[in-house]
Amino acid sequence: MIRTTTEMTEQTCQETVCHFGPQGGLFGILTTPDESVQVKDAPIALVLNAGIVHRVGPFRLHVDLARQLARSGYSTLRLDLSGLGDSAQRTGKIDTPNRAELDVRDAMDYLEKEVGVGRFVIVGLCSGAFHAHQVSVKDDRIVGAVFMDGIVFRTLGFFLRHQVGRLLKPRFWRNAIKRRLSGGGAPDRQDAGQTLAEGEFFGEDLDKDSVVRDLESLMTRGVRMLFLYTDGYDDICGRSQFREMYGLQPDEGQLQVEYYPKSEHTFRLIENRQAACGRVTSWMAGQF
Amino acid sequence: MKHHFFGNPKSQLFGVYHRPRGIASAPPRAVLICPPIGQEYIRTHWCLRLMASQMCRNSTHVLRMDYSGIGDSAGSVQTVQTLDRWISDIRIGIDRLKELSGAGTVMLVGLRLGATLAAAAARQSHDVNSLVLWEPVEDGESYLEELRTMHRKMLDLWVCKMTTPDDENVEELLGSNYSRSLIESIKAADGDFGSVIQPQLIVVPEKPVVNFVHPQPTVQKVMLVADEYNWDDLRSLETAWLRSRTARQIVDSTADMFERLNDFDALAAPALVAPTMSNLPSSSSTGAIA
Repeated sequence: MIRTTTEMTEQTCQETVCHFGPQGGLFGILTTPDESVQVKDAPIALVLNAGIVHRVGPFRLHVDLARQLARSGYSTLRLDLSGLGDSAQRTGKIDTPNRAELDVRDAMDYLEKEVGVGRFVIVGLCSGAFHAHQVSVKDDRIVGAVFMDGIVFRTLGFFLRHQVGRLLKPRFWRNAIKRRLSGGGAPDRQDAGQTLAEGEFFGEDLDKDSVVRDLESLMTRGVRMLFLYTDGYDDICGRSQFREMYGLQPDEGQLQVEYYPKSEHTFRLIENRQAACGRVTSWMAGQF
Repeated sequence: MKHHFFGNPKSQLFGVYHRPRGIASAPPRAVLICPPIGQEYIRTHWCLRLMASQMCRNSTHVLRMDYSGIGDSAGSVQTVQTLDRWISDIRIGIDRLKELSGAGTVMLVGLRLGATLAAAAARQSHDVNSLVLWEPVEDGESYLEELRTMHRKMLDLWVCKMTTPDDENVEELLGSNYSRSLIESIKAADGDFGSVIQPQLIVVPEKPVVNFVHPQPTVQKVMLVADEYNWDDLRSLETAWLRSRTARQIVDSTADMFERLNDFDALAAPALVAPTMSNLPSSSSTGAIA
């Protein structure tokens, strides 16, 4: 294993290059806190790719999150799943439809062996949250999960609040007209394959009942969960939709839900990113 | 690929070194890739990775690097005070690549502001043998205005009325905070590629905004490519920027450039006589020699 380490300017964390998986072809960066602030026996956070963005995350969200968690005493591995960022493609026969499960398992095996920590919190945005869900239900080493704009289903409440509610907002009409006038719509694509269909990120056979069963099994296992949703995510509108979707009542303990009405899906603004990173960090501190 | 941190131990830079595949060339050929900054850095990551992989299959040592405050390198953009910091990062990258490859000189391949920084670094370096300037930022002020316009448009189309808390110290542009001194430094940046003495290949879309002129015309070649200019399109802000055809053309052109540089003995050590681009093969180019 190749390991090079750097001290960050803040002097409160170190970053280490990690290679794992088949022929060491998978790659991630482990951010560890300074010993003076390290939380004893804490799980390591694993941050998965959002879409095809490499491990730094959209607008460098994953780097900000990892370093903020380190300042609070937690370690984080931000990794590239196979075939994304700087990780190699996974070749050979794969016994699961979701290669992310294998990649994350390899990451956990590596950290268990090299760092001696066997408990993990999985963190993902968008497709990363989808993968986080799939992995969480299958591996008992996952003791916590942060799903950012993850799996959602439209509800009657969604249609009332979003579809009907937005028609009553002058800003919706203003923005729609401005987009139309500025030639809005999908951006021009020059290269075939520049866009990926939703089905390439998310399983298309997901049904609500199976997701509910998964969440209930995670609850039974004692997995701590934080769901973050943004207004910029198309299929959700308001914190109350969580209960409408899954019949589960969020609380301030094991099952926490947060909705950011002023945030874009990828946390484009610093203010939004700080809010999300701060929320995840305080959640970690409260749970572990 | 060798992923690693290098440079000042208190503020290290992240880089990915691609070892050449197949028979290594002698003297070694080395390319340092200088990426854009901000959101452009994220959009172009995959394209530059693929280009680096293609180059290493051409027996070339390649180092991709992240500047301070960008990508996986230490710090944040806000702590960068002037472009000199990033130019000095490139200088560190050049030394690191020479160390890894054993090359005496390196070629810089820069994209967008990375190209402008690469040109500035080349002016100060005897061990840069040539440059590829891919859609370079020719005018820092216009570049900043593009970023500001996109930022304003993004806020204007936000779901609610939104502002970003700029003050006398920082300005937020498309998700990054820039110090006022860095803003001034970017504003003052220009594409004075004529003052760069090393051979340079400029890669621009078919309808370039600027006509490139070099006092020594044989040192500069402009390659026109059939790509659209869409850096200021807000709808593309989070779209991967993929230019596989152009990247392939650049890879082929760099191989040609290395051949010619080798003819001038400019690979093993800094050239005493500057080689020119005048006889570069043009088979992979869609453009004309300026």
